[in-house]
Amino acid sequence: MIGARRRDVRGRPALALGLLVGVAVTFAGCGQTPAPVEPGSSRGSAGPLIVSSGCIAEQIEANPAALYFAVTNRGPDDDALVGVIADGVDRADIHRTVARGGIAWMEPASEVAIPAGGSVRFVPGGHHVMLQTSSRRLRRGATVGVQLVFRRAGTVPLQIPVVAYADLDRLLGQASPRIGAGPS
Amino acid sequence: MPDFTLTDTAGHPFRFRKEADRSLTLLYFGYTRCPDICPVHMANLAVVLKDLPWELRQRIKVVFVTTDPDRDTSAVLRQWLDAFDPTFVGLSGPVAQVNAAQALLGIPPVVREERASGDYVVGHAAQVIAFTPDGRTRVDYPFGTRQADWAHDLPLLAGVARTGP
Repeated sequence: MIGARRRDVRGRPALALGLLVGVAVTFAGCGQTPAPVEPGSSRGSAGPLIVSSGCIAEQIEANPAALYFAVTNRGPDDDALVGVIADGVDRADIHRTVARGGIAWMEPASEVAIPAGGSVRFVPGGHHVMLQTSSRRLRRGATVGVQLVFRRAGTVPLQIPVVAYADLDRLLGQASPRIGAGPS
Repeated sequence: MPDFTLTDTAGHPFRFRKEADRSLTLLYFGYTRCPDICPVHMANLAVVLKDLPWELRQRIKVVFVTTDPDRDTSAVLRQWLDAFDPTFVGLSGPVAQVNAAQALLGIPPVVREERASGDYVVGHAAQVIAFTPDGRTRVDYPFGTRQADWAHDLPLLAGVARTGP
């Protein structure tokens, strides 16, 4: 397909995000350069959980932003994401986008299972964390302190970059099934 | 080609069938407080359209119809679309009129769901509907369509011209 390896809007090579299935190598942010694990980065861990590929799609005007990331569970026990805290953000709600009768909905999810030995990716059209804020604007180029709270493994602190919505392109097509795949 | 009339962000009536004639028209139903699907589609279209040759770009229209007319006033809609591309057309109207337009396209009516937080969410179709310039062909692009797909398809669709006398 023509343009399948187009460069992204800022002219960086469009890195394909690594598949996380059983692989410990991950990326620092939404398609950014791979980086080693270090505290206070967009990659983090707690116990057997590794969180990576975090990014926040910026607010358009005062509308909510959306947080995406990937979690890999290398342990023998199931875990679950039960909460999200983000600096300067009033509400952080875990949502899942579902298709119902030809219509896409955001549904609240009180928790998201992270199965033993498995990976879960928050991607557009799948899960996201909706961030609502009245006190600050989340604009591309900023970094936001985020804590992901898991039932067993505890809290993973991260510094997540804010990106443009167009930068989410490489995450598309990963939610399944595709929504709106034909006239309802 | 569906025939419906809604109001654009300048307050003028916008008759879709007339305005879409001879343009590749990309029609989408969504709302501005949507964080996950609507802004992704709009951002991807904006980025790809910006890279097209000027003459080709002039033959493509993006039309966004709000499914949340209570919150999406013309000013809100205009500001939100301007964040992507100021040429994007924003349309609004009473929910009954939006539903009538959606019915012409085989899209279920707008549904609003109240949430415990006092907020509400709006269900909406997730596909971008493309109408070729001759008005004869409709192509639905589901959510998940990537920039490379648009870059590949838009020039082809825009080139579909009326044939014959």
